[in-house]
Amino acid sequence: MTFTPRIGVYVCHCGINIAATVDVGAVTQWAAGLPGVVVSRDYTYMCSDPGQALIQNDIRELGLNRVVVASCSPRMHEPTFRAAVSAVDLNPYCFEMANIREQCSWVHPAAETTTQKAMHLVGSAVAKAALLQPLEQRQAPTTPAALVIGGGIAGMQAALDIADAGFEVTLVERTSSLGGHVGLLHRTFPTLEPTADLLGAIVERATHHERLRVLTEAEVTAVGGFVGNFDVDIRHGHEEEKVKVGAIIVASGFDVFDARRRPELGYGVYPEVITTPEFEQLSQSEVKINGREPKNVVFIQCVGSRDQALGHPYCSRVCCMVTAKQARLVRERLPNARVTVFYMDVRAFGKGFEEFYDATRQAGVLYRRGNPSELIRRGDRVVVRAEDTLLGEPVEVEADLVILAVGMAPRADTDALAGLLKLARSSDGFFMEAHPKLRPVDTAMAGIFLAGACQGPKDITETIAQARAAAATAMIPLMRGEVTVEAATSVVDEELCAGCGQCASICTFGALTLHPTKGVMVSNAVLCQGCGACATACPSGAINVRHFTFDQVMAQINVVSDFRAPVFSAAPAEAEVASPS
Amino acid sequence: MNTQWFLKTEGDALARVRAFLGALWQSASLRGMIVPVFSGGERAPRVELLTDARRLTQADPFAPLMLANGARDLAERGRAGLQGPLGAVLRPCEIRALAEVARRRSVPLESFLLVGVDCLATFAPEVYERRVREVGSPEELTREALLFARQGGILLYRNRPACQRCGAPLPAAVDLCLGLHGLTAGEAILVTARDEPTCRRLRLESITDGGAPPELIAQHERMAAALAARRGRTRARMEADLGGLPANVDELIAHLRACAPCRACLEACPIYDGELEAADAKVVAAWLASCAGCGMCEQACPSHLALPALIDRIRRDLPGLSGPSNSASVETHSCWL
Repeated sequence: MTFTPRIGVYVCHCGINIAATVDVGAVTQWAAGLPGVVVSRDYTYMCSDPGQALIQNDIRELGLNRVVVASCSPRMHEPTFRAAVSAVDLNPYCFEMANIREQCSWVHPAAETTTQKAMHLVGSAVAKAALLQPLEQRQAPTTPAALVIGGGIAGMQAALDIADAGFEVTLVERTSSLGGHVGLLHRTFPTLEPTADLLGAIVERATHHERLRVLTEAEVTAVGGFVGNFDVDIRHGHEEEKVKVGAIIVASGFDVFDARRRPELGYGVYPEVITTPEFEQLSQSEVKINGREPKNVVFIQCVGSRDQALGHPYCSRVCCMVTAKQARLVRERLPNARVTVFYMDVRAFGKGFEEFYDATRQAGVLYRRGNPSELIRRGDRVVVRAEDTLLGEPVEVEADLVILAVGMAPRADTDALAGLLKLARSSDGFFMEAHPKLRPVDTAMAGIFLAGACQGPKDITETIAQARAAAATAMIPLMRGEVTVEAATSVVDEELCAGCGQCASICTFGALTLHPTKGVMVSNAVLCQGCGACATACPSGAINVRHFTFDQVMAQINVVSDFRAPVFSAAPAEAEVASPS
Repeated sequence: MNTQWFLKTEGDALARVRAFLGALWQSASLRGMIVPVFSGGERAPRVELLTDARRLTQADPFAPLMLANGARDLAERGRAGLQGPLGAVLRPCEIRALAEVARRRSVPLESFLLVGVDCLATFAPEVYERRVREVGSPEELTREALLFARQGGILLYRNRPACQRCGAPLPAAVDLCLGLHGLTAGEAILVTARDEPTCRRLRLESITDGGAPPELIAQHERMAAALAARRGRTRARMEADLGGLPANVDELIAHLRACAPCRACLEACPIYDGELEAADAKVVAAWLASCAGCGMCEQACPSHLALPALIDRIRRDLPGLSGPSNSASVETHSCWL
């Protein structure tokens, strides 16, 4: 019996996200006339329970065997709809998605051509749907071990949790010792507890844990494989070694903002100007500058944070409390010194933070709202010039110690690590989580997780929380002992394959090997991640990727290739700007 | 007597074919052979007249590159009354052009021993250069092309457009064919003679490895049919992309006259003989009808105008189409399969 596609098309309004720009009704009506389409409907929110029920009902009542949903990016809701069709016994790979939100309504104005583009996108999805084949998902065993990159407090905590749960953990630290930035701090806020007390215990446990192997002066040089079965190359001193792990936690930390990028503040020029991390060192012994105790101390906040011009528009989140803590320490150690803090806004959001800030002010620290414009030298002192934005007048404060509350920046080597692990970065330069709210420790790469300040500025409390969350999430595939492998894998046509091996040379997952007797390549469906690089490299077109076959993709291209985007002329807009009216 | 023979290649088809051409030189008592060779450390093979059989060790009739259609050059040698007999190893489109040129200008071809090779399709020169750099040497690239003979060559879209559309990559009307398509070139290639007297004259029985096994012949035929079908689809797609380009003889004449200062396409054409000057649409139509589909015009054109596709579309509508056609159905060549 020949296969006859019975396709259902479901066009989503996404509230007004799509409907305000695209004529959803017209798209729905147009789709109803496409070959193979049995039913075409629109709905306010296709991803909602009633929306899904609509699809499920049609599959049962109308005997649909292929489903197309035109809504958002597949990265958003493909899993949702695949689960929905699976629930009524339709193979999840018989579902196809047309992205008419991110690729259409969000990026175009409301116009006839935008609706036409949506139609083409839906049409191409329908053309592919008619050719879709059901695929079977398989399971692969996982390696019960984890790799943690970075030996700061985040990396250590995550590594300890996983090791405590009974898995082998390898911790790779680039420097010669564990502890990271926390190891350089004197006391913590809001409790003023000595950092050495809390860090010491963690370092001690990490160093002596029976299932935790710490490699210092080591770095990851290559990562292959996939969730459950990563192959990692590590350079350890002069030695190279390979480890197999099931999950990877990235806890590579941050760089301190380089205050020299604010030259008007005189850092690196005036010895009286130091940064908050330098004050941590200074405060561990005698607080002296130029050989004597300072009498006027000025803190300047938001150095390298909330600064569009420097490309650091984000808040570094810790500097307000670091400043409050250090100002308190100055008041304790030098009761006669005047302490002034220049701030933009004080953000005391954490548990006990606002109380700590109040206590700091009650301890005699003067908070002045304003962002200093420059530092100048006058005699043996420096003068901080600013506008007090509450009084609305310029102020000058003489100081013999100026402390710059520098922010957190993405590490300089973030790009290199992102390349190794194929991770995305958000606009601030830090690693990007899979979803800002629902998946804050996951990455877009299955099996790779984020902990600590490599994902964005954090204090110790949040870092520990994220590290433990990452550890718990990373343990899911390790505990289960198996992972579902991608069914959309490459497949070699033995008739067309000449066994030249070009595909194997570019496959990063080592999925392609030469069959010992047939002289053709064989694709390992467990190792293959369906990236499709081999299919494009194959000289004779012998490799197809399931779910993205040549026929399917060509069918899509054929539909969209007759769409011509309108040519917009810049002339009218210029004329409007130029006209005096 | 059998006209189909085969060569055991033992992993190196190129070396075996070089040796076979040497043996052919002996058995046909050739004075020389026209064949693409590597000379003087050049990256690309060029067609040369060899007078010393020892230089055949540098011959490469399968290189996936065609810098010029050898038909015109060969016809001139024929007209000059060269002291024969000479061997000439040519691609199918060169042979089609040669037959046409010889017919139009009454060039005697008797003094030539024409050897046609199955064409594995060619790259544009710049692509060829890049691929040579990638694989290391031109000979390595030829070996790669031979590796894919069993598949009928590599993916179409990587080749020159003219090769993508070529439905007749198997030579016809020659003394001897070297068959590759559908065969594992590292194991065996086919040698097919025009007729039994040719077999005897060239002593094929002793210079080949025997009569061709029927399964080799069947594989070769199946691949020829598959290639014709595959490329037919490509031709249809290319034609759909032509859009508003010249659709008849008059429009083409006007088009070519409008870009007259260049004339690169006309100079590259092995068959062109001043037809455009004649100002007679019938003369031009006859020239277009004889197109061998080698695509040298397109390769020479600075703006890569899809001339072979254009010409195919135009001549399909010409009354009384004659002459060789690159889109000829496989059946017309079946005697050579």
